[in-house]
Amino acid sequence: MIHISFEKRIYSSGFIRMSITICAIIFALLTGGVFLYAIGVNPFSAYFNVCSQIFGNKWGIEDLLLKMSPLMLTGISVALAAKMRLWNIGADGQIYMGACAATWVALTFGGSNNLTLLPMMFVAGITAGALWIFIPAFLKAHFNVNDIITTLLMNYIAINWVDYLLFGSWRDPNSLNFPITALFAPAATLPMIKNINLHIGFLIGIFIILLIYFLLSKSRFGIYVNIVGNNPNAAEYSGINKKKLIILIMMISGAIAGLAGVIELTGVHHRLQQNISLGYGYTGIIVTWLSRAHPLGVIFNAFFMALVFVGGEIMQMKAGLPVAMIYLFQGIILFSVLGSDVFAEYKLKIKRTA
Amino acid sequence: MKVFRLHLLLIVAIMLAFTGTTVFGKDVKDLKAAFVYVGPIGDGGWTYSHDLGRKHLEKMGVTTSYVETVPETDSIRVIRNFARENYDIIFTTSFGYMDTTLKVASEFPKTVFMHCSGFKTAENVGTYFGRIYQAKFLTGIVAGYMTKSNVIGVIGSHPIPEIIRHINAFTLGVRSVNPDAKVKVIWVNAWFDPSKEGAAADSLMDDGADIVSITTDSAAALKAAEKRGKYAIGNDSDMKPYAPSAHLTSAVWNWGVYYEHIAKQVAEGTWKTNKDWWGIKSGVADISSFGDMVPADIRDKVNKKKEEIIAGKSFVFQGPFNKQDGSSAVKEGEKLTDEQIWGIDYFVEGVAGSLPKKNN
Repeated sequence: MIHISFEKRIYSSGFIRMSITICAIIFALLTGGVFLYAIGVNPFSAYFNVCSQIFGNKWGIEDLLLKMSPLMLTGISVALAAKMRLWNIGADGQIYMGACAATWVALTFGGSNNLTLLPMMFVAGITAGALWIFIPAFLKAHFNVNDIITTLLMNYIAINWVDYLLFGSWRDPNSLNFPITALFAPAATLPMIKNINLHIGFLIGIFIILLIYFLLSKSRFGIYVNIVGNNPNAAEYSGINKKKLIILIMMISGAIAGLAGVIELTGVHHRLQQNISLGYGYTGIIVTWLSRAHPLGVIFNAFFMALVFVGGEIMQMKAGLPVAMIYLFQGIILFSVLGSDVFAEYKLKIKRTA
Repeated sequence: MKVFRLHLLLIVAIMLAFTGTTVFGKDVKDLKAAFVYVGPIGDGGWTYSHDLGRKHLEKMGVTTSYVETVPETDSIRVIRNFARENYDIIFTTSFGYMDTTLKVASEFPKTVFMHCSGFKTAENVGTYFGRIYQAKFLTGIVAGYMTKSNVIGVIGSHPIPEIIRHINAFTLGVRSVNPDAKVKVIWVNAWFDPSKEGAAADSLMDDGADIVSITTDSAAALKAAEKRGKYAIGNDSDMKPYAPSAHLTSAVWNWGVYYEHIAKQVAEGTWKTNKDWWGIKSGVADISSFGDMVPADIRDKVNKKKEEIIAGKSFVFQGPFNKQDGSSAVKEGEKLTDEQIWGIDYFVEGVAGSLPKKNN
């Protein structure tokens, strides 16, 4: 008889985790390849096309990094909260509220000069993101109200609030009733990185992630966060003000998502409209999960998720795949990577018994 | 100008006949055409009808490609990628792609861009649309005859002039044969949202409507009508298969005719930026076959009206008709100009529903 069982790993190193994740991605590509083959597409040429298109051109990489920018910020936003076992499912809503506040600044002070308008928009957006999560944060800290539910539901309020403005007083009179605001003044445009077709929001994202990384690993603040996250009771005995820390962490998390909103607004769209966030808040949760809330892992996984999105589009263009196939593909990848978690925590034991 | 172009075409045609190869530009078979769609090609409506047009080009030997379900906020990358891949023509088929199309077009001056349903053009960006309001008028006549409750529901997508125009044409059709009928409008503020569309159809029927007509892209409302034994009118493509016992008729597109025209122009090198608005005469806009419940005499009347429109004897936006508030819009013997029809921003009498307030 062969007996198969899982045995908990006593120690799971970063190396083991990383190699398991890579194996999972390869597994997903193979499984996806079977589906591709089934509908008459050569999987090898499809994958080759995606890689040559993205990595064979300067602009392929630019597209990828552009898509990656908001995912890094929502990823680190969710990951920071996750360090304290808090869930910020509301990054999408914070993106909308951040973009909304920044739009208000742009529409009200559009005539300001280049030096003041952009910073004002950033301050407004970051503040709005932080304030938008304050309600769930306060409820969580003081009454232990489920943060998954509250942050999620705040999304719908934010999206409908933005819709209300877009279909109402903020609608561009020249848009012929289409729900978009007027284009912002040129002063509200995020600067580009030199010689690359990419706005500096990408660098801001990297900077924020490094900042959070050092805060968490090198500062006293980081020690507190880790204690509360790993052992809430111990935290209480050691005299850490848990309530204050919950509110603070969640507000920083919201502020980062709000920042993502401002960057998308000033770097990409230059106006407020529907679908400013294409589910970036939710993808941020996936990024966090894939990177197990490690800040540096967020960079890698934001890159990976951007690759999945942009690559899916190229597969449509090149191989004529239907969009449903792309969704299926993304599903397979996430399923196998998240499912592989079990191998990071447990060892597969195969025993022969008499 | 048109005469000149015709001459040019003739000369080209003669030269082609003599040499047997292309002299100017290239053969249609060497063309690459790309399509950017706002919905899935399986929506059964708007995007589906454009994709039929794309397949028509494929049959002619044109190499085509498409990306479906492209959100407006993500469209610039998709359009740009097609331009980078040296496509000769890029068709962007949603109003919301207007500014992104223009942006990419300014970066790729040699590529031809055709934006559907917008109003901004550039040297290498043309716009095109069809006078489907003529077909909407005809479907309105069917609804006017077939309603018993004298309440007809319309599901509005976005309150932009295009949709206002279609609802007006539909209402004028209804009222031309049934002046007592009312047209109720509910906005869903989306092009493709089957669950919202179905819910809107239900509330219109709760409100007394026995026929539901749509300006959105899915057949959800038709299915909702069929479930309750009511009638419905489809949009963009023949929606009969979705709800055979509810489907009266549909206002349909036939983009293949137009795409063929543009592809030939681009291949010949005669393409110039334009604002095309082809009507029922060209076949780009039409009405589908009728449902079994529509009696023969009504079919005849509708077909007769269609012939009149084709012959130029009948005109949809001809006076007299009033605005929603009862004030006169167009007097007896007058009609709206194309510019006025294109930018129409008021409802005609008989529409019960509101437009967003202007804030300028």
